[in-house]
Amino acid sequence: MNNFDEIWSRWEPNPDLKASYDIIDIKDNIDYLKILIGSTKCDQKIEVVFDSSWAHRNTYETFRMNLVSQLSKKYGSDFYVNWSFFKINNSSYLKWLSEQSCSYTDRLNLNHFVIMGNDFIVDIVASEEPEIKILPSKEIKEKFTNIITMKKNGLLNQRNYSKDGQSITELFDSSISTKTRGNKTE
Amino acid sequence: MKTDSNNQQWIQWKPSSLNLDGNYNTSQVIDTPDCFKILITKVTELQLIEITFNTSVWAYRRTSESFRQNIFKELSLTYGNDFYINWSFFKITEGSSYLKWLDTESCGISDELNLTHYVIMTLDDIFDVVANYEPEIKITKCARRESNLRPTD
Repeated sequence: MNNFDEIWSRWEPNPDLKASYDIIDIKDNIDYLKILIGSTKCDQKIEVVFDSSWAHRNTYETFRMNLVSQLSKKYGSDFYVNWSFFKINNSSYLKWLSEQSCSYTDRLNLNHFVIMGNDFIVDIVASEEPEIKILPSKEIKEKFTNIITMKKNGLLNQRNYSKDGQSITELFDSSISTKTRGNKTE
Repeated sequence: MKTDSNNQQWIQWKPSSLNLDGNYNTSQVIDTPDCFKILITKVTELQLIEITFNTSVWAYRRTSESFRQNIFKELSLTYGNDFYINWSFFKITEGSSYLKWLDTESCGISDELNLTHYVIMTLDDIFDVVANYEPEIKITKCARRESNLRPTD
């Protein structure tokens, strides 16, 4: 078994992230890598959006038992049991990419991010931090759907719900989504 | 059969009677609990190829082609350029280093399953997919040539 010389740290890209999450789906194209995660404990769904990523891998969690065991030994199980976001220094994934790319990757400023879901573990290699978008909970969606329905039926006054040319839907989106990049809140 | 310097044995994977020769660009990857799908577009024709694994796969990785230069060096040395220049679908039938890594990482669990290592090469990316069944392949005509092509309605 290989020595575990990676240095893991908890990555806290957004103060509203709460616990451990499930990986719901991953979409990857030329414009973005989008990872949708969710937690049934806090009825929260989150999009983690990388503008571009050089590489990513997704592995069934049972196939990463060795990693989990090594993390337990090195940091204790509390380190990862209730948290899903990590950054890795001295990354073996980045070392492998360096070998595979004939050292081309060494010239780039790459980060290795890990999202540990309950069933799958996703490793992402990217130059930039992702955007974290917290999606509206079911309850908030229902509340605003009701408001929009009432507006459509003429039961509400537009002036109460639209400022600066924003539609109700835009107001809704801007009021409940939280966007961050790195440590800065937009 | 020849093996590369990592003792991996590669074969060209000819997954169906469809004409799949040529080069491709990556269009999209969709990974959900129900399926894993890679969509690629043919460089010379308006064709979208959908490679669909009908349930989620055990593991996959997508790596920018520029980060896998070593593969091309290995394949050229072992099998010659013709092996991959005009073909994009492969299996590693012996000695897969990805399966070995998964075996180590899973503490031997993955070794008990009958897993296959598929490799799909596009001009943009290299996909390594680990599954214990063959995917479905479908060719669809594209509306136009550009990034993120979608099937025609």
